[in-house]
Amino acid sequence: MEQYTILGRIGEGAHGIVLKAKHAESGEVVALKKVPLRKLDDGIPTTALREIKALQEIEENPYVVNLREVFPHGCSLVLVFEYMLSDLSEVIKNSDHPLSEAQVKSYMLMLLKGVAFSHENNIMHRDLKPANLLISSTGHLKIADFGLARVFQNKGDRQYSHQVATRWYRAPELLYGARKYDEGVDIWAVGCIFGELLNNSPLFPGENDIEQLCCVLRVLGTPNESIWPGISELPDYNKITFPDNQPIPLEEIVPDATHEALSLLKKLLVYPTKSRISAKDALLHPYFFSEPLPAHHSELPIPQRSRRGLPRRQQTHEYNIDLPLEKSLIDPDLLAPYVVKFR
Amino acid sequence: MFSTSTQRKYWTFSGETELAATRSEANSKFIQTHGSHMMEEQKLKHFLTPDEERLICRQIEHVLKEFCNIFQPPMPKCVLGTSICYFKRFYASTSAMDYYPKDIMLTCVYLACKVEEFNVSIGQFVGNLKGDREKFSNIILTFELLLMGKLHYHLTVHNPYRPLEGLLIDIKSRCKMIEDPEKLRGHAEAFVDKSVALTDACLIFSPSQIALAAILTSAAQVGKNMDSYVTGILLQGATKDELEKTIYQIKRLKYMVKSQKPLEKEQVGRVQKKLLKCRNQDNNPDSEQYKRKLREMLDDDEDQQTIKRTKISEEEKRRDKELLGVP
Repeated sequence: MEQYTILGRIGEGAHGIVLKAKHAESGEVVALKKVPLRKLDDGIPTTALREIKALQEIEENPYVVNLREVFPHGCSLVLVFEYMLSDLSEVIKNSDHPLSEAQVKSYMLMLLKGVAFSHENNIMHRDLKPANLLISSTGHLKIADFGLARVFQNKGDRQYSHQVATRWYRAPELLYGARKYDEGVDIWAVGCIFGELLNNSPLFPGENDIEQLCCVLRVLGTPNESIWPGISELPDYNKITFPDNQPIPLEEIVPDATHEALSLLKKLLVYPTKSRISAKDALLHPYFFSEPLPAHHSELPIPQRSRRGLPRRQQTHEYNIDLPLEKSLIDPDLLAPYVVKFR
Repeated sequence: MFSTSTQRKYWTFSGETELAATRSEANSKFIQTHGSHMMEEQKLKHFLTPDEERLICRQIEHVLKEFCNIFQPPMPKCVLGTSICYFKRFYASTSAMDYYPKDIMLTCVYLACKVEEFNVSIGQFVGNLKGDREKFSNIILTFELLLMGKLHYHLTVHNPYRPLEGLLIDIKSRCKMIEDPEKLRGHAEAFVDKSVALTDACLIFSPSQIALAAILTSAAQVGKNMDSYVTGILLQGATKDELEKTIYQIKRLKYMVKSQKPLEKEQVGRVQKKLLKCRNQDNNPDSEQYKRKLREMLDDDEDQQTIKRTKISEEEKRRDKELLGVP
């Protein structure tokens, strides 16, 4: 810990606080994720173990946040990550006008590259959402927070918890309580994020689990055995029935999207997980090869991290070089009554 | 993927010679630090030799296996494989006198349960033990972080169980000369179990080499020769050099599994008694020394917190004063 100088607090995660710090030797700025261990009944939390386990095994990838080292500090465990300025949810929140098509394309390209890399390494993230997609000071996107990540086996008999993923980005099979699922849950989340980037607002903003399913069904139509083979075997399928609903064409849901964008979106948001396009194949979709081409990272917005959830205040003044100088100076007379004078 | 894993990069030794050298280095380091006041002769009598350390570890590995086998609810095999591997990695560079193998063994199994997603609470876990359960859970939670550190936070272990399944599937689809590949399973699994529980194979060989050696041993036992499958199908396209290397590795491994000698009870008992006297009391959660150290550490932590808090409040006071303009 002595190697690092704490520069400030970045935020509070699900397990512990995240600090911004500087590595004394290299001068590099990093993010320290402190996992407190005191008063934990079952020892080191599984989420921390999963994150370490997943990130230690994969080689460095430009689209996955890099775990630099792990060390104990007093009664806590510290995970050292490269420092990232912001995240995609901030980008969406702070952009005054929707992102340009080239910018959306660029984010999708980086996201899919990161997902493809994780899946190639047999890791499903299970909690992809804009807040977990960090943005570096150079505009690059990197996937973070592998606290729910699982190493998967293709044998497919393994049972998992369905209580994963943040609700808006949770795949329909999870909403139906599936215990056997695959990396398709990440692909669904990628589809939701894509829709959100295109619309500048979340695609399926359910307030609770039931409503979440309603949101999805309203758009994609009520599923049945013919469009989604195997659905009737999902644990919660018979617990709730919805009126028959015809799907709404995605063209109406994402009205401003181009033909290519819609074509990709339709391949991501599909009911049967096996029919969803893989991240690797999605990268070859014509969407990424048609005009406008994906933006260069220097053309992407780099928002400042908003402090403690408060709305970001514009700190730098917009100077107009044609205005007379006096107008931007403070009149000392206005301040005078507030100045305490000492005799 | 094993080929890019931390297991291959950091935890695969070239052979038993290298492993033995690392172990005896840990042994002499411990003796150097803790026996500086002793004469050579006295040291020999008081401390464990590297061989004695191995004996104790092997005994505890046996206990580990038994513990996993009767664990309730029944645990998947990979938990056993991963915990034995953790245990071996731990004692590859740490003396058995420094940390008591039984304590570390329990911690290894508990950590492996979590890493392999076999979710049991600490209460459930120690419920499988006889004796003072609160003490056991204290021991486990105390050493968990230390264990992770000694493992360099490399938590993923590639066990030979999955490659064995993979090979069986491959034989079913590509090797026509074996009519019923399932017949190979029994002996093959027994070989894998032996290599995991009784040998250092997980520190020297890749999991797929262990699985292949298991299949070949099993085939020989049921009177089949699978050489043409290995050279013609499985390793098709490999260079002559690679082929020879693989065959050599398989031979080494088979020999290793076959040549394991059973433990002698009397000897184990003698070494255990010796260990009780020479173990590092600083790392014994039962000792006064340890309790004192822990208290100091906790006090330190609290002291630091208080110092920090006073510092912050002083800073705030100073800033308030400045703002208010009070001299």
